[in-house]
Amino acid sequence: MFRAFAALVVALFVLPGIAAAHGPTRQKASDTITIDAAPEKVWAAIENFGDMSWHPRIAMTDASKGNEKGSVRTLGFKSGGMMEEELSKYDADKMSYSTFIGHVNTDLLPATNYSSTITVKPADGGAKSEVTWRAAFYRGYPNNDPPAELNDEASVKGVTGFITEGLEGLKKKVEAGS
Amino acid sequence: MSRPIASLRRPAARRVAAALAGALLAVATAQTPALAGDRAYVTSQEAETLSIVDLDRMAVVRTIDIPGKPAGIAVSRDGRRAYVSQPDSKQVAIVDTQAGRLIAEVDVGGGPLGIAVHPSGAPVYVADWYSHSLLLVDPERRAVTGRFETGKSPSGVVVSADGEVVVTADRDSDQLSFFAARSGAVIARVGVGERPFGVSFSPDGKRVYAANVGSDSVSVVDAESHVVLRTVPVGSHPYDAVETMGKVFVTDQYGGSVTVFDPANGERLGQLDCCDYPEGIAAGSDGTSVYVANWFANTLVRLDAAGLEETGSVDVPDGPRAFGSFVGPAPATADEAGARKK
Repeated sequence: MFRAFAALVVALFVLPGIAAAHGPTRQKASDTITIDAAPEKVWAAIENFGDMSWHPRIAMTDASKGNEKGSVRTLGFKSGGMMEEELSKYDADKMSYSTFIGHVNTDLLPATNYSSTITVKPADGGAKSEVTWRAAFYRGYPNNDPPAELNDEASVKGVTGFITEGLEGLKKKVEAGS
Repeated sequence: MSRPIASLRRPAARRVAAALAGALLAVATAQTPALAGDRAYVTSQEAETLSIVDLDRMAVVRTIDIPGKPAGIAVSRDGRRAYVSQPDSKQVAIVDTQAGRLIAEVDVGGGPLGIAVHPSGAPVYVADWYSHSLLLVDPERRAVTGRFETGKSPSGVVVSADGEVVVTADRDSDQLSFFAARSGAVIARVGVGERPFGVSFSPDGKRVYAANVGSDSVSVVDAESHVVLRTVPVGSHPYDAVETMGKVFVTDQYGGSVTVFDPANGERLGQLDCCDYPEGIAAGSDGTSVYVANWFANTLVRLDAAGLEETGSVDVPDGPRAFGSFVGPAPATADEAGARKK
């Protein structure tokens, strides 16, 4: 709890310093998974921004304004701790939406200024789906000389893990038909 | 065995044919705006490289290692020199574009980011994020020779085509600073939107555009009266803007798009879903194409400024930013142009 509080303090008071410190450079992470189900079926599992139950790490989700741009969802993690994520773009026709987390809880995700896009595309002539999840972010420690658990490498590893586990969870859920 | 034996036996005819073909090609070159002989210089921040791209072929002709997380880029008017800011090593790299070689790294200190070069070839202007000033670098002496006081955290910098005025986007002061390019006298400080990052002049020099990252808009500023003519809403987290063919093209980093609007009335002409975290944007010399550094996808994308569609793409190393006026003439083309003038 103290660590979460400390992270919040860091987020609130150090983050604005990002503007003045060009030390960290933006990082990226992405993964793609093929799911043995039609795109419509996969999209149905993720289309509700207020429901991230498809991600194995998430215990609870609650979105303020549903799938409307600007809607904020509160993510409750199974490991404990919360994070707020904003919906910045939503395109049902393209089966894609983008999100932004300004104040990342670095205990949960070792990054800051995190933005992401998840997209479902048809594969194998529409019989299967390809889901791509991409994220761009800065490392968890915004100033110079970051501790090892909050440096560039740690942020890429941490976010990649979050993405890959999420996609695998989605695949499992959809292919199980639940 | 498919060689054309007849023509091999007739070298004179071959020479005539070759000369004719050459003449035709020269005519075609002169009349085809696509063959402008332009080069793009694309900084890849994570890979720490500078890619020289032949824009007629959309092909990388050279990749140069540039340490220090290169970000900003400027090209001399003759195309012979490229200047790259290295925020991590607090330097400015000088690249001989013809040799394709890094020839010097100038220590500037602070946090060098935005960069521009005077049309006469010197000085090189470097926005220093930390000291809140615009550094003047002499590319011959390879040293900082002066500084102009900007607002907080200057990012983008641009020099007018006539070499009279230099403008910085002072990101954390939400303003632009206009300086007399030679003396450093402050001409104006102009309040714009939130967190202006990229800044550019219209081709006729009458307007200045500031991309406001924090308020998802572009400020259109009269270059003479310094009045904000209008503030145009664009996509999420705009990075930079450039005008060509009477249209302003804006890279929306988080929006993943390029927003196009009419500078005369602010009317939106399109929003191209072309990119993933598009950053640097520049027009080709004939104005018909716009080039975009596509940060997430690691590509340089070409857009047709008339048809508003993507017409080409080339892969570049990881994390292309190309922040600044990153298109210039190929050095050889510059030579020919010089020869023709004489």
